[in-house]
Amino acid sequence: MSISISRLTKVLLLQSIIFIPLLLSGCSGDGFGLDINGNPIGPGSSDTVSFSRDIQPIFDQSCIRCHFGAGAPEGLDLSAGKSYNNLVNIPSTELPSLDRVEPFRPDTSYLVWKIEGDSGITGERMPFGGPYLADQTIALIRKWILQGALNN
Amino acid sequence: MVGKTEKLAGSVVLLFLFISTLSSGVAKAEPYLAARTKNKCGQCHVNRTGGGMRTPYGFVYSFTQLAAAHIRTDKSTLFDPNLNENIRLGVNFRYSRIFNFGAKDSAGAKSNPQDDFAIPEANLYVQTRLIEDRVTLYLDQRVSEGALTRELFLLWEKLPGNGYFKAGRTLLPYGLRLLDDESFVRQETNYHYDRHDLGIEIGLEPGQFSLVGSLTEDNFSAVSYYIWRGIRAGVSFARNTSKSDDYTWGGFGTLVAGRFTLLGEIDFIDQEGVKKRAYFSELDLLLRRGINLKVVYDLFDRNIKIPLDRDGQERVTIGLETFPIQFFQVGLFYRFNSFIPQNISGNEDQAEIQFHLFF
Repeated sequence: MSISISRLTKVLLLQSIIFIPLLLSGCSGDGFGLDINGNPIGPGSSDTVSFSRDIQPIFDQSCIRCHFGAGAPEGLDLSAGKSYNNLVNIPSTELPSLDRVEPFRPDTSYLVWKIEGDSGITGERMPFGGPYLADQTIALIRKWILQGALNN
Repeated sequence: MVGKTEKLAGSVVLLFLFISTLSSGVAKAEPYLAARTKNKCGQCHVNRTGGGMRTPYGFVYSFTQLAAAHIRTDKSTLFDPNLNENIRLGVNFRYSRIFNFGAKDSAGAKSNPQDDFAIPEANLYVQTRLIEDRVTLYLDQRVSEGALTRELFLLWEKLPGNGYFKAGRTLLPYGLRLLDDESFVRQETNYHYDRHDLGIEIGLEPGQFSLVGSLTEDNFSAVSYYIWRGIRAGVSFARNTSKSDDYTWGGFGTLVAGRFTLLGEIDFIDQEGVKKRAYFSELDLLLRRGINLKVVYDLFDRNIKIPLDRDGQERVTIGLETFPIQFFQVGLFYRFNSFIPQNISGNEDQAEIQFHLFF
């Protein structure tokens, strides 16, 4: 009997050796937003979206009339010098399971949901009462996030 | 007796040929042997940090303990790699047949990989003992295409604390000295068998402890580990200033439990401002004398700021390594490669059959 158990143990261990690494695997990337070598598309090239040059002016024009100072809605001050730290990798107060901006992931960044009027948002689409951002402007914000939401 | 051993060796070879029709692999790591025997690298290798020429102990171990069968006719004498009392030779010759399997990119385009014959290693070693047990001149010369001197150093041993001093061209110490240069912990840290430079190396190895430091013009690296029974735990650190001020550090360990040997290494890499991580794990099972089953898992995070499920790269290698007769090794491996879909070559699986002659 002990021999049978020993053999069974060996067989199980052998199978574990072969199959456990295969089960562990699955960490390879989907490559979204990356070039063929796995590097982020954009940074360092002329195609890079600049936060200070391209994104902050959008907030200045369309958001800070409300999202400004200590009394900003949801505590989200989007004025220059404050906006980046209040957005990137910061959980949304309305939907804490999502960050306001998750680098490389525009589809799961709550900021994008809010400006696109996604059905999953709480409250109103932004900017509140419109006019809403143009498609090209939203695409630019998406691109900035896709490139890693750099503070550049 | 002769007939019996030849029959056994023939059976083993036939077994491998049969298995090769079913599967095969690419890992070549040998540190599992040091882990399994609970020895330091320098027990079996002239180079105290491992790899290359074998010591007299390593030479004897290879055919008394590694080989499944020892062929020796009544008339033959034991092969002796010593030219004379002071000069000793060694060889590593590996010949591979690699099968590359195609992959598709995200657009559905399929690659057209070519199968390769390769000589991954053809190295000749010469050890000249200038002062018995103390001073050695060591040469590790690649003799295949792209011939170069991999190592050429003067080694002074028997210093206090079982210490030693090397001066000349040496491999740079870091982590586990895996033979698989393409393992992420070797390739991405840039400490592998193609990484050698002019400099000095100092080692202190009392008892079960080892501390080795290497200094070249633009590189410093150090490795330290301790062996306690079947456990080996170590750390590595390196700074390189050839391109920018790059740092690499990490830990490694081995564990032996019966016929099983487990190896692992993790490295944190800061190269040109980009922080990366590389992981390595290997499980070896000694099925019977001369036959080792190997499973290796490699993972590379090329930019820790990017989620791993975006840019992660991994490899799983399954293989059989065997030493059917003395001085001869056959390896059969299959490797699953997985990377981002737009990189086709990073998703091509590979199979390899490798023949290794050594002494």
